[in-house]
Amino acid sequence: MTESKKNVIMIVGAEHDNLLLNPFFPETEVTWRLAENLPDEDLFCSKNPEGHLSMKVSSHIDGADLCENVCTSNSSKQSVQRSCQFIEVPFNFQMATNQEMVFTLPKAFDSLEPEQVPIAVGVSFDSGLSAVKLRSTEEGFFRLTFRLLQDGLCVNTLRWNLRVKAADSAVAKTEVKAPPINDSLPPAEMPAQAPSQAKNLTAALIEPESAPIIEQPPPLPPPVAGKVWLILERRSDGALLDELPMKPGKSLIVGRSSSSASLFVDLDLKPYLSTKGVEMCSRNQLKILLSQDRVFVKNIGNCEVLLDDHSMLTPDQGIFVATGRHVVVAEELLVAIIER
Amino acid sequence: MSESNIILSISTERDLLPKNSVDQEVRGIFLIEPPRAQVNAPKPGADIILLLDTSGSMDHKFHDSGKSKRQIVVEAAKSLVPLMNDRDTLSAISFNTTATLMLDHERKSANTRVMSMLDELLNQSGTTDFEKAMQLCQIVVRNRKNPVTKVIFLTDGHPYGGDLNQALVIASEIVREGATLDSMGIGGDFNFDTMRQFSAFSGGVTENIVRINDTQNIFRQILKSGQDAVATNIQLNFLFGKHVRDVKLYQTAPEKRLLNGSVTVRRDGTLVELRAGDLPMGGVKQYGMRCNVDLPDAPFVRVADLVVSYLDPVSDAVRKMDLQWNINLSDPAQGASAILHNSFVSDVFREVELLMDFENALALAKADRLPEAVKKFHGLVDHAKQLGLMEQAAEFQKAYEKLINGQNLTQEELNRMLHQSSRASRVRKTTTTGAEKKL
Repeated sequence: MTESKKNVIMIVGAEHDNLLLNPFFPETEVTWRLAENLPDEDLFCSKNPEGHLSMKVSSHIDGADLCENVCTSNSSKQSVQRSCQFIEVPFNFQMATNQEMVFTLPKAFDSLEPEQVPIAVGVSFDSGLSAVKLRSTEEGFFRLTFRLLQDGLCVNTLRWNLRVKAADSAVAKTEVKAPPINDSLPPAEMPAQAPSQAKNLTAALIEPESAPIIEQPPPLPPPVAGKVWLILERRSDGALLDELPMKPGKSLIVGRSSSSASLFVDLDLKPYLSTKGVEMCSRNQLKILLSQDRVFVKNIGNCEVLLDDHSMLTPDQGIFVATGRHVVVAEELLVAIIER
Repeated sequence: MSESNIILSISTERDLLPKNSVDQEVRGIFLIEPPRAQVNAPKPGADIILLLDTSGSMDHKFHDSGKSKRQIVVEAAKSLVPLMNDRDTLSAISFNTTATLMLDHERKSANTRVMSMLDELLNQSGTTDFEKAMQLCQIVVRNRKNPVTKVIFLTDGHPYGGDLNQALVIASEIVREGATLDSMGIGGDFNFDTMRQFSAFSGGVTENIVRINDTQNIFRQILKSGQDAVATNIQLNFLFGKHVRDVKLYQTAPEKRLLNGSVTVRRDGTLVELRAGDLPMGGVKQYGMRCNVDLPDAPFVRVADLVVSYLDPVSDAVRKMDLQWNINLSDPAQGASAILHNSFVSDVFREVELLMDFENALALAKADRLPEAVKKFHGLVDHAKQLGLMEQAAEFQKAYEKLINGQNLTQEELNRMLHQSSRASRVRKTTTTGAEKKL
C-alpha cells in the first residue's frame, strides 16, 4: 500500500464518479462498510474485481462532514478505516476567448488524462503543481471530460461544461488554487482538522476571491442572441441522445411520452430511462420557454429535478437560466440548454 | 355600434393576475353575435346549394320509417321551396360516381321545374365520389346570385372513388370564396369525423340525422339562417403579442373543435387566421383561446388584438371591427391574491377538454391500444357527469362496457358520441333577439 492511497478524495455532485482505492490491494477479498452520512437514495456504488469501490454520489454533501468508509480484509480480519475528504467541484464554467484558467487539484491525484476535450479548448496538466490549465480559443458550448489518476488508476471522472464567450481583452489569466492536502498521515489517524481543510478546498474552488471565473447564477441572465437548443445527453457517459431547437411563441415540454394527448411531450425521455428512472420522471416534467429573450425552466412534474449548481427545482418552481447550463432529470439524463 | 352588424365581446378566466410574473395561463371566450333584432330589417337573398349523395345505398331504408334515405332527403329538399324568398335561389348537385347539376340557381318562381328535377334524384345510383361533388360545387358557388351562399353537404356513407384530401382542399377553397358549408350524414354508415372536417372550414355545423324529421328541420334551419344573415364571409385575424406563447384556439359554438392549423408563430407574435362563414340573426360564433402570458410591472397587459372583417350582405360593403384583449394586473405586494375567476369560461374549456379526451380515447381504440382506451372511457364517464352531461355520460358508459367485454364500437355509436360531444352546450349571449325577448 503506497502512501498516496491513504488519501481518499471524493468529488461529489451530479457529474462525478469516484473510486475509493482498496487499501489491501492486490488482495481482493475485502468488504466495504459505508459511512452512515452518505445519502442512501442518491448513492450508487459497486465493488470492482480489484476490490476498489466505485461510487457516485449525486446529492449535495456538506463538505464539512468527515465521511468514514471502512474497508475490511476478509482474510486477515483486519479492519482499516478510511476517511474521505470531499471536494466539491462545480461543473459549469464560463470564460472568455483566449482566456487561460488554472485549477490546482489536490496532490493526491498524480496525473490527469483528458478523455473528451474539443479542439477549441487547450488542456495541459502540470503534475508537479497538480495544476490543470485550460485555454479557450473559440466561442461555444463545450463538454470536457477528464480522468484523475492515482497510481495509474482512475479515481475520479470530472465532466465540466464550459461556455466560451467573446472577450474584449486579448488574454486574461486566472488561477484557482486548492490548499494542499496532508499526504503524510495514515488514514486511521486522519486529524480532526481534515473536515475544515476540505471545506477550505471547496470554498477555494467555488468562490475564488481574485477571479470570478466560476459563474454564479445572477438574478436574471443575459438575453440570448442566437438560437437556443435543448440537448439531451446520457449522464453516465455524456452520449448525445436528442436535440431540439426552441422557438419563440412555443414552450417545449420535456417528459416521458404517454397515451394521453393532453400530456404531449416535445422531448421524450422515455426511450432513455431505466425502470428506476421512469419512476423518477413525470410524464410532463419540465416546461422550457423563452421569455423576454431569456430561457425560463419550470418544473411542471411531481418529481424534483436537479440544476447543475446542485440546487433543486421543486414542483411548480421556475427559474431563468443562462444558456450553457443544464438540468438533471431522474438522475440519468441531462438536458443542456445551449445557444448556437 | 350603429354602423355595425355584429357585436364583439370577450370573457377572461383569470383576470387581475399578479404583475411581474412569467408564463401565466390565461383563457378567454370570444363571442361574435348580432345586435338586437330590428323590425323590418332588410333581408339579403340567399343561394342554397344542396350537395346530395345519390349513391345506391341511399335506397336503403331509414331505420323503421318505411321510407328510403333518398325519399326522406328529396322530401326535405322539396319542403324548402315554399319557404324561399323571392330573391333566394336553390341549386342541387347530385353526386355518386359522378356529379350532376340538377338545379342551377333556380328561384321559387320555377316551382314546377324545381320539384320535377328534385324527383329525378330518386332515380340515380352509383358510388360516393366526394371530390367530384366538391369540384362541381365550386363552379356553382362561383356563379353566385346572392351575397349569402349556403352549401348543404349530405351523405350516407364513406367516400368511395376520388381523393378525399383533394375534396377537402376544394371545400376550403369554396369557403374562401365566401360560402358557408354545413355537412351531415344520414343513417349509421357515414363517418361523422370525416364530415366534421368539411364543416370546419367555415365554422359550420355537422349533423347526425337519426330521426325522420331531422333532415327537413335541418334544411329549413339552414335556409332561414341564410335569409337572416347579418354578416357573411366572416374572417378573424387575431394577433397575440411577443410576450404570449402556446396559443391554442378552439371553436366552442355552434360546434366545438380544435383549430390547430390556423395558428402561425411569427417574429411579431402569434397570428391566428380563421374563416367563420356567416352569422344569422339570433346566431352566435364563439371561440375559446388559451395561451400563456408574461406579465409586466404595469396596471394591465394586452394579450391580443382581435380583428373581425365581414361582408354586410345588404349593402355588399366590407366592414371591420376590432377588440383588444387586455388583462388587468394586480400587485402581489399589496396583500392577498386578487385573481378573478370566470366559471363560465372554465366550464366551456372543460367541455372542450372532454371532446379532446374523447377523440384521444377513440384514437387509442382505433390503434388497438384497448387497455388505455378503456381507462380513458372510464375517465370520460366521470368527466361528463361532473359537467352535468348525463346523456353523454351514459353513451361513454356504454362504450366502456362494450370495450371491457371485447366488443367493437359500431360506426353508428361513434357518430352519436362524436355528435353529442362536439355540439355546443354552453353559449353566453350578451344580446337577445326580438323573438327571444317576447318569450
